[in-house]
Amino acid sequence: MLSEQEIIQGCARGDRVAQKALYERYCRKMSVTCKRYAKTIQEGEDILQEGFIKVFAAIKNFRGDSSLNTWITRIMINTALNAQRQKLYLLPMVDVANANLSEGEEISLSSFHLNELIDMIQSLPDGCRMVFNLFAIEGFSHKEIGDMLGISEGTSKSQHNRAKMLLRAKLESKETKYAKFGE
Amino acid sequence: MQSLENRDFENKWRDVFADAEDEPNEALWLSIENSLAATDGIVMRGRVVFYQRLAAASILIALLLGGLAVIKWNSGLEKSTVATSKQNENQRADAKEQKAAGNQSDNSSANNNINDKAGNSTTNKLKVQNPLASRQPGNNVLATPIQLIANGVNDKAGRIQPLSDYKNSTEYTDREITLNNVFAYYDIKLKGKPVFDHRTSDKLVLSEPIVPAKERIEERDNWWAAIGGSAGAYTQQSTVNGAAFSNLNSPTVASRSQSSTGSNVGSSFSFGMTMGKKISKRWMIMTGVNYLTQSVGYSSNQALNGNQVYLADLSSQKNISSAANFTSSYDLNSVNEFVSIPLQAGYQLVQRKFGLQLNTGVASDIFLRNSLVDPSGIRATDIQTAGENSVYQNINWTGLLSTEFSYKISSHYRFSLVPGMRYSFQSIVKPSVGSSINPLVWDIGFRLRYNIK
Repeated sequence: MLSEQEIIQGCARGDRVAQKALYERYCRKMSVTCKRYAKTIQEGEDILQEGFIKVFAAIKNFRGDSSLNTWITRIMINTALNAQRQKLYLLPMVDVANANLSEGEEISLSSFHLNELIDMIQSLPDGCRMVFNLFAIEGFSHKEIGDMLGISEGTSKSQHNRAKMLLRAKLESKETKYAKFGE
Repeated sequence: MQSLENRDFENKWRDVFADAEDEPNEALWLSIENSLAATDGIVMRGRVVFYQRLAAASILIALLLGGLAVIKWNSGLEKSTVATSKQNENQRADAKEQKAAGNQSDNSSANNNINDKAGNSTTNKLKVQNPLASRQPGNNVLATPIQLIANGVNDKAGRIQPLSDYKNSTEYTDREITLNNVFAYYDIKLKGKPVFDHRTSDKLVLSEPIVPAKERIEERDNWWAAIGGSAGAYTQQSTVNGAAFSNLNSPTVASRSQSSTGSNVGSSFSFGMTMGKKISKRWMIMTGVNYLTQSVGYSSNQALNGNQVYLADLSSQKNISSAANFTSSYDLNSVNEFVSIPLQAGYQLVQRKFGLQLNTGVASDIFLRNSLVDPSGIRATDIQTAGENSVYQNINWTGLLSTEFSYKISSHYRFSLVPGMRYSFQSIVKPSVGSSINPLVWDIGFRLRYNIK
């Protein structure tokens, strides 16, 4: 069992055993991250593959300023954004009217399976999906997201609101369906 | 309150995905491994090409050094002759003392013997003209007769050896040492061929001038200045080929594999001035200042805001706020400009009308700017200068190696052709870019040198 430091040093040397050990350690977590940003499962795996190749190529420059997990996650996000950029260029994000969010009901996510939640996110329009992932899950501010995607802060906010509205609708729809079938 | 509720919604999603894991496709690692193997192969091929060129350069240098050894071996004989000249000057002084002692009659007898082409003299007390000690500047004619103690000849160290020592040698089997034998000895020492014709003239004529030692010493302290330029092939020795050019500090910078591919060979040009000083008989040091430009072509399928060239490899911090969008593929040129300050040592292998010199040293290349230019002119040029936000190092250290073939066109001017190479020890881009680029240039330059006497 290699330690994290041994894995990093081994990967920097191009040692295949260390590279596989790093892959084994982080592939499951990163698989979820990539799938969240992708439109399909297959697309998510393509992003994961390309992301790991980037990690192995750049790991000799890893200085340990952040944790290895954070560093790899950041590379995966970069890779995912690059993969989505063409779509975003063809269908640029625009401001949408603020949705009337029904905040009354408390929605619980614990009753949903992970893959269901991923499916819901993947079903969002490209722009909404990017913004929702970056804001809600990664914790970037709308200003940072605007800079990343080349959109205004207001556009980021409106895309996020739209994503929330769509997700809430999907969650409610699913809950209703489960209740109907007695689940 | 609504804001808090909104945050609650996001927090739930964040919590769900905080430690979420999912098993990826089992075949994924195999795909990654294949990609890594392909990348390793390309990097290895690049290294092999570099070492092949290094080997070729080593062979060239070895050949040059071999040539030097031959030339030096030949010129060693000539040097010993010059040393003999100094020794003979001492002999001349001794001979003058002998003159003062009243040996005038022997002197005239010796001159007569020189003109005796039959060379049948049997005396061991010959007085002859020294062919080396009395050379007139600019004239190959030895006009001043001097006396040489003919019962001895100079060995290679300049010491007088009794002729009797040569009587028993294989070279001089005749028991009677003649005047011709003495000249033959000089002939061997000078060039292995007749140096002067002692049979046809009273005045001995050298077949080629012998440069006095004093003249050579004067050249040692020479300063020189030169102007010159060079042109050659430029390759980027990149340590990775694929998707490694992600700027890890920025999630917006595109990967190279998706955005741009570079042709392998570009062009390099430089011009500037050089000055140098001889610090010993064969060594010199050189420095100067040169403007250096390195250009390489790329094919890109991304543009900034749709109308500005964009190359992911050279993405800068300033591009973070500008999204790079995919476009139809187009060509662009990446041009790096530097001011280069070399510091080199040169070793002169041959110092004649034609000169041969080996140069090696380092240069500090000060980065000026990088320009991404769309040759079609459709997209705007992107210029990146040095600085904190630049992905380029402000200063790069480069190794220099060259061979200089020169021709002396007058007493002050010398023209040189300088084939050589320059290789950057460090990457010209900062480590944060995620990879390294070490430019390798093979070029041929020219230099017009002015010797300051």
